[in-house]
Amino acid sequence: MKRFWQNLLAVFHEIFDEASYARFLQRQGVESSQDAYWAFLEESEDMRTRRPRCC
Amino acid sequence: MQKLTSILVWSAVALAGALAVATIALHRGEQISAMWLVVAAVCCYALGYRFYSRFIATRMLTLDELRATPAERLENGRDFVCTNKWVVFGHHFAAIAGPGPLVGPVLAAQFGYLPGTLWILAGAVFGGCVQDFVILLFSVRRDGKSLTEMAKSEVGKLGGVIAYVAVISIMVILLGVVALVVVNALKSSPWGTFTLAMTIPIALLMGIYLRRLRPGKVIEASALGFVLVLASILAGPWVSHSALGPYFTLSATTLSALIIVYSFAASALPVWLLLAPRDYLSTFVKLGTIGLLAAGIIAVRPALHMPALTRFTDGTGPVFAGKVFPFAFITIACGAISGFHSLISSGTTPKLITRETETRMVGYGAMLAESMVGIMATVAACALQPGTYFAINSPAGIVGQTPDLASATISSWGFPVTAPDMHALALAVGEQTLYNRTGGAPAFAVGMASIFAHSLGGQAVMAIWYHFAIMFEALFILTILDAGTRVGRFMVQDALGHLWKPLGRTSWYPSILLNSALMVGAWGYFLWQGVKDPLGGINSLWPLFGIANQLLAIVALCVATTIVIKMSRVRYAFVTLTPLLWLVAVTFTASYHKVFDADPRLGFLAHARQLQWAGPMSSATARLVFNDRMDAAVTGVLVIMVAMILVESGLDWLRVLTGRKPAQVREAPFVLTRFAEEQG
Repeated sequence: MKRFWQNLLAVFHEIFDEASYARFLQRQGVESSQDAYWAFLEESEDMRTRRPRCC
Repeated sequence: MQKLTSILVWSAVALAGALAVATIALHRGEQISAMWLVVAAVCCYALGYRFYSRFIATRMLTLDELRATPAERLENGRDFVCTNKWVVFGHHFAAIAGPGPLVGPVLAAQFGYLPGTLWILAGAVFGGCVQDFVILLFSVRRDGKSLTEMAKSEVGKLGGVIAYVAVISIMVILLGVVALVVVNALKSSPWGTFTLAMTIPIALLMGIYLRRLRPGKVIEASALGFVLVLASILAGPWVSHSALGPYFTLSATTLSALIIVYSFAASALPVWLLLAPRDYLSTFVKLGTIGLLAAGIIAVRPALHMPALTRFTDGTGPVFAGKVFPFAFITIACGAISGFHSLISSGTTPKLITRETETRMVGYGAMLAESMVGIMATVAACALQPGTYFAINSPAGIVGQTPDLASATISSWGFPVTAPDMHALALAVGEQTLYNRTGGAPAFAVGMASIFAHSLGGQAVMAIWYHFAIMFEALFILTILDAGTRVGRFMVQDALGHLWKPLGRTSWYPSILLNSALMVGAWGYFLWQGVKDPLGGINSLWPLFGIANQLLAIVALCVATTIVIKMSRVRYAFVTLTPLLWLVAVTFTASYHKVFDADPRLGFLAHARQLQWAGPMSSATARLVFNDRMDAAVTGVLVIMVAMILVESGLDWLRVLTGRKPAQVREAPFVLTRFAEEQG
């Protein structure tokens, strides 16, 4: 049961790009901040806007 | 012992499934419980996943656990990332599930619950899941290449161009149709319009929250946005009865104009400000609503009031014209098989897969989950009294302009309904009227509200549930509109960049404005013609969308079959070839009827002729004639293009099978996965 909730939380982190942001922070070696999030948004904007959503 | 247990368990599942399907298929003249549909679906999906997908994985595709995926080989922490399989499953499901599996089955319910249910079950297990699975795997083996890139490299240059044009076309038609669904759901509905309008400032607030207050805390911001959306739903009745009410009571044309302007602005605005927060919010609401609906159906176990088959299987249905074959099979796309999924399966998802073997669970499994959403939509629509269903979904041009006339027409078909009953229902859900609310969304919302009202809060909160459902569908459709316009704009920019380089620059503002206008203008045209159509628009546009979507599935299955044959797995080619041939039969027949059928309700050209012969043409009639001819031309061009890719693929298969061309696939070279070394 614990594993189920962990997996569910992980799914939400990925869907809502929190995991992606965490990876960005780790890659850049910086703490979360307004500037860091801004940089993350700029970096991922192209990828995000080209992501199709199905009907 | 274990084997014996397995045999016994799966035999029990097969028996339960057979009993449920037989009950659904053979009961006539009496109501059945919706649980039969749920049991049939669960058993069919379990059997399909356990046996058919395993057969495909081991025999046809020979999934290789030792082969490194692009997520591992090209890992960059951005788009290529090794990700837990359950996380990829959830991510993929969130991307493929939209309003399609909710709206299509609701519209197809005019034939009764049987055709739609059987198509959703068989279409998903043997078609949709197979397409999503094989395209995902083939993309994984090609460094996450897109469908159009795979079509170009495996089928040929022409295949690539056709796939590209098909993708753009389906996006344009899709956006026009879903915009029409939302317009029909919100016209003259101040409560619904206010709630949806509020999602724009809420999304902007979320953007500021994420950017300024709590950077990166998206789940937190989405939960906050969800609470604010619920508050706006609760405030809806107050607003609609206040001095603000008239500002939110909008006609279909005003709503269309606003949606077109909004989508243009959203396509040109920075993503973080509006699009990304709205995307998060709609995903949050969508996952919650699907979970709630599943829980509601299981808790209430509603009876299906709609018969198994209605008289409208003969093609005379009021919701849309056309016989059960082929029109049930293009009306329900998402939920059974949807070509659009092949874009997701060859988009973000293949770049997240850690092990090749996980493509089975993600590709095949996520589509089964989406198919279950289609079954739930069927239940929501068929749990309504048929008279109510037809009163909501039939255009005034067919059943009559007044409530009494519409009720009399529908009752004369054998589906009793009265104007006072419909008025009471409209009041219960907080609307002025529910007549002629074509498009599927209002009928789904009434069905969902009825189910919820029986389990949570009773009749007193039915209006809240109705507007929650409308908000959910409208919010998600609006997200599709802004995201789709932007994705389409990028695709047009890519193409125009070949003509003149600056037009391809995604950061050059004149190019952004021009291409956004081109994209919005294209789908806005279809929306506008739908709004102006006296038959409600859905009658002509939803089949057009279904045809375009299934034609894209044909392109995807052509690419898949070509690769299977080149992999020297000819004896298993039936796995992709069977759904391919079925879709060719369905879409080509439907296209023929939509263009050439002599019935003016069905054939575009016959309708144009009828208008021309009716007497002197006003400018409005001339526009309708032009629209009919345009729809016929679009259908014809799409069919010709897909026929070309079919011929090109067929010739390629022949060359490979007769040894005139080497059976050579263009996969990324084999690299041993590091996980194999870790496992020893």
